[in-house]
Amino acid sequence: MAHHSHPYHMVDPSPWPLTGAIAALLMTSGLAVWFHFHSTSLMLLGTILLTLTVIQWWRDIVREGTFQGHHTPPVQKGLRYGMILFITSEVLFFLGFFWAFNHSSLAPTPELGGNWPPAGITPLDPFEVPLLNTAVLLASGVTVTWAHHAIMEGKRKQAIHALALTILLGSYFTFLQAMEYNEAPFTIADGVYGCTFFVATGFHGLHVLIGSTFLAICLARQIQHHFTSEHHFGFEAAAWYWHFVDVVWLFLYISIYWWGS
Amino acid sequence: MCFQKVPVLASRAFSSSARKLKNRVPEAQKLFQEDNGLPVHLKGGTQDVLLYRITMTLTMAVLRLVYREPATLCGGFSPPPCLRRKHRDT
Repeated sequence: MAHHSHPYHMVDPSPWPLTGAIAALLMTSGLAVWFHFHSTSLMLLGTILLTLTVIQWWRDIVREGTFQGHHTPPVQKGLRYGMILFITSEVLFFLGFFWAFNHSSLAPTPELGGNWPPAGITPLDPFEVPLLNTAVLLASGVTVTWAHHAIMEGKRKQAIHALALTILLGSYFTFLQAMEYNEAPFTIADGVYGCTFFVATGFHGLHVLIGSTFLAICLARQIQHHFTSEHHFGFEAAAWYWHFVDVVWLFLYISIYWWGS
Repeated sequence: MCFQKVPVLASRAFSSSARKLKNRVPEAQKLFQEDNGLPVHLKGGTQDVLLYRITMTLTMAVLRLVYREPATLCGGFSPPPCLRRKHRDT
């Protein structure tokens, strides 16, 4: 093994950046093909390749950290910075959609009837399912913190229970939101209200799915004894991501669901 | 026959399977720290090689297909003359 005069991890040559880049190209081109020519084949193929890439890439990172011991404290510090920067970029992503909502809702045009919500739109009651959704996500924030403390204290069974409960609550949120989407009296095509509502909450829902998947992988790793009480960064990254998803929902609830009704 | 086990399974603690799961991390550490010159994406064995070959073959095949025959993935649409390559390779 090569010995360097720096503490950073020099990874083995890997094919995944190449396959990932090509898969992303095929997926996005496929999206354009779907929009214009009504064929989903290319987009589907791109998604399959992206899935294969991320499974193998993250599998390799687990191997490098848990099985090869490369995630020393300086390396872990870099991973922490990386996750924080990524979440920051996601915050900025959502900021754009909140900007769009505020642009249209703070000064509603005459075409909307000069009001927000616009004339003809029946918004969802913020004190029904949306409030339940808020409680569900807040509870999941508590259970993921419980899981973290259980891991740090070496309480294996409790950690598994708390993590499983977190994932269950996340799935319950997704189920409730899917029901809401199905029963909403307005669609994405209903002017700027429908557009800002479904794009903002839709992307949030996608992030809930991503976060739930990340937590599920952490649950599998916890069951397989990958995490120790001192070293469990994969779980911490998943927990940070989950809290971010929770906070985005709180902003969505207060601005779009509550103030926006 | 297997229905007789339902009461036992229903009353068994949820995490008892998790508890009985053997800790295979030391085995994995031995496998992935073996000094055989293999990169981490192939170090797990035959399954790794198979999955890598499937992924790379599919990636290159689809890329080649899209570049050479865009019409097949666009529902029969062909690019207009101004966008077609003047001297196509056979």
